[in-house]
Amino acid sequence: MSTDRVAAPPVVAAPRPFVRWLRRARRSPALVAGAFLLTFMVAISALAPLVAPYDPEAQNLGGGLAAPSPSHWFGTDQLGRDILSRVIWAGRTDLRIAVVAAIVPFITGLVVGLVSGYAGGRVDWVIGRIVDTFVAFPFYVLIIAIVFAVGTGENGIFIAYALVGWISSARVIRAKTKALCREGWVGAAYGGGLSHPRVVARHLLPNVLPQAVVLLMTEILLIMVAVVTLGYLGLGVQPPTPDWGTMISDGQLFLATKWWIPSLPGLAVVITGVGLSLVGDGLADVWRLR
Amino acid sequence: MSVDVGSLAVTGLRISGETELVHGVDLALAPGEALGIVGESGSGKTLTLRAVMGLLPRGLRVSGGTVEAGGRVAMIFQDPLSYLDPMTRVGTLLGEICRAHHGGSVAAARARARELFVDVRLPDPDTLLRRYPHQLSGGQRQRVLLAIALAAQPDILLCDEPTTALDVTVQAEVLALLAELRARRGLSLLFVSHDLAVVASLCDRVVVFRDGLAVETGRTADIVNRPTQAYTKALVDAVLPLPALAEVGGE
Amino acid sequence: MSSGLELVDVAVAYGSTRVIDGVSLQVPPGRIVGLVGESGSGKTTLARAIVGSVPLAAGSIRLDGVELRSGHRSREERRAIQLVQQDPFASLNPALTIGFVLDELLRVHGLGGDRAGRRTRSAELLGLVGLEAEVLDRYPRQFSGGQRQRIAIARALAVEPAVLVADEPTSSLDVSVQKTVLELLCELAARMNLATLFISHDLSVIHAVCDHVAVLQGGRLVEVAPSGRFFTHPEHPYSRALLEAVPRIVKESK
Repeated sequence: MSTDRVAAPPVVAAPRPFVRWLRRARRSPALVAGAFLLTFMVAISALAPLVAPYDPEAQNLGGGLAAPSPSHWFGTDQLGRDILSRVIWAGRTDLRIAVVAAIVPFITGLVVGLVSGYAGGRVDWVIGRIVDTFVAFPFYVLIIAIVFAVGTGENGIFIAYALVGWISSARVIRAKTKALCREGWVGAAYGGGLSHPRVVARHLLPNVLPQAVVLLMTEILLIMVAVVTLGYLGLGVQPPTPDWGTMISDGQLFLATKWWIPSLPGLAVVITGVGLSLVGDGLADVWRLR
Repeated sequence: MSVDVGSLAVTGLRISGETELVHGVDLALAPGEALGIVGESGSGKTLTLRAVMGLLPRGLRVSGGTVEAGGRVAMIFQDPLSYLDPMTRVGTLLGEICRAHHGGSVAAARARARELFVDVRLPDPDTLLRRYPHQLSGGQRQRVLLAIALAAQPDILLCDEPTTALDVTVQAEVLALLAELRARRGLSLLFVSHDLAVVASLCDRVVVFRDGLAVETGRTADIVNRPTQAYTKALVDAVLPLPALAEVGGE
Repeated sequence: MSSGLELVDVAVAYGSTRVIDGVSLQVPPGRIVGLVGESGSGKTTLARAIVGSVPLAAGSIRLDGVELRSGHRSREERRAIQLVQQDPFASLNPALTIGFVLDELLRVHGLGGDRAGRRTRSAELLGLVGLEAEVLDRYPRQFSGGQRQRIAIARALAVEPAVLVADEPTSSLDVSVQKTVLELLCELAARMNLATLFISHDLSVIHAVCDHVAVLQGGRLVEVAPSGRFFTHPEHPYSRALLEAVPRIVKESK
């Protein structure tokens, strides 16, 4: 006869949940590689004052357009500024903006997705039509229009993304929430006498959060690319603050002759982007979301 | 070593994935016999059946022992809906299968499909042939699966919990159909179920599985009335009894 | 003194079709009433209507004589009728510990006192279903189907309901575990004076547990009878057909 007892406690005390999670995390090559890349870029950016060899804005007109050398690992641009230092400081700017700009749309997308998925009915319908309206416009057109209206620079980006950046994650969260609501425990929570807000916040949210965090990685990635793009178009971060986008734009004339001027900032964008993407994929693997 | 048509000999069967799941099972099925395999979930009964058919899931393999089947083997499953292509009419599907087994023209295959539908007692076969799986009831779908199995003209029919998901009245019909097919075509049946009562009503002999081992084998009447193993006795006792139904018009 | 659950002429419709029609049934406190139906009979829809997830097209559902509306039940009304569901693998929140779920329910209804008192009460509830207190700190994925079903029963009892609706609670469980869960339900119904509606397609399970049997066919009740008479002398032809179809083990007489 099969016994039906609770599993006997292990002989050795079970490691704390976080340690167990780390072990699982190590098994995902994507997560490990991505975390490595991302940590590298973030650390360098954060430690910019200590790590950058030169003042990013120090000009040396005589020594401009120099190829990479031991004294200037990434060479110098047309104004003699050290490119390595500029890439590092630009990273600091662009990453900071990307992360901060992602916060509001993350929260909005999470809340709208949860409410829309849980409430269903008319609320879901109204939100759905609002989403449809936004989705009808090409994304970048909206972003650029808002930045034009509000003004260039970080604030423009923060506001533009706060208004528009929540849509895609809201749709995913809504789908996930709807799927979860079909499980019996959601009805059991409400049926047990808990209020709707409590069911959403304490019962649904922990199940939706892993998906949301993975979406957040993508969101930060997209915003970073948008910051760089807007910088390239002259609508983003304004000089003299270093920014990968403006560096690429300023240096594009030299792409054939002095390739290091636009390409190395571009490489930094790619490495950071790949890091974010791998971390997102890796987390999705570890949390078995895919 | 040749095996009689319609008989099955499983000797020392072991199935492993990361760990060993079936630990050396012996089964013998005589031609025309119905052998039932009873066990709880995780007992290895379904895996054993799949190993006989050569349909073990990915990651699992036969790690020891032999399976010798005399003649053709066909199989029916628990959830017909997941074994029928939702985008194909059942008649078309059956027709294709008939052609795959016996060749011939599309028209001949269609006629054969219709015959099979009659064999499995599907009412109004011309209409049902044109239906999609989701337009059929659970019992009808299971009969379609049976028709597909019969298209191969098998000598041995493996049944993996085919009535578990069916209503009790439909189950009774399908079990009756299986008994009839067995009688008419001389099919040997290997019938897996967690329900001892179902197995006992259909099968001549019963094997009891537990944790990857065949715990006891015997004639149905012996297993039910005189189980020798404690586990078997517990399974028999766990079958909830029903009082005898009085005849209509009786007191 | 509770008078239990009463369904008066209940009807449920999807669009213009009535999936349930004219169902009247009484479930007195301390008794287990069985509802038998095959697939498509509407038994799960009826269960959902009783707990208020699905609106009624006609008729009323009463608890202690007070009518319950669907969709907008108060906390007290929701608490009074608890559902134990069929699928033990979808009935518990995978992200929360058992202890958290029980504690929250107790706290929201003001039961059990302070945190320590609630923990004691949670352990008692688990004890009622034959599980140890260590279960409180674990997650659902660490338990088998039978254990989860018992946890679901403990959760249902935590809010001290008057009515328990058990929708095929043992259908997904192994036969050996089934007996334990059924005995548990019988004992609890008696001990806590719960009015229990036991829904199943399995007549032998219904026979083991229920005092009265109601048969649902195509959304209508075709027979309601005491258990003793029903299984030997069913009146309706459909009831008879169901009983005749059940495979039985014929044991030799001693």
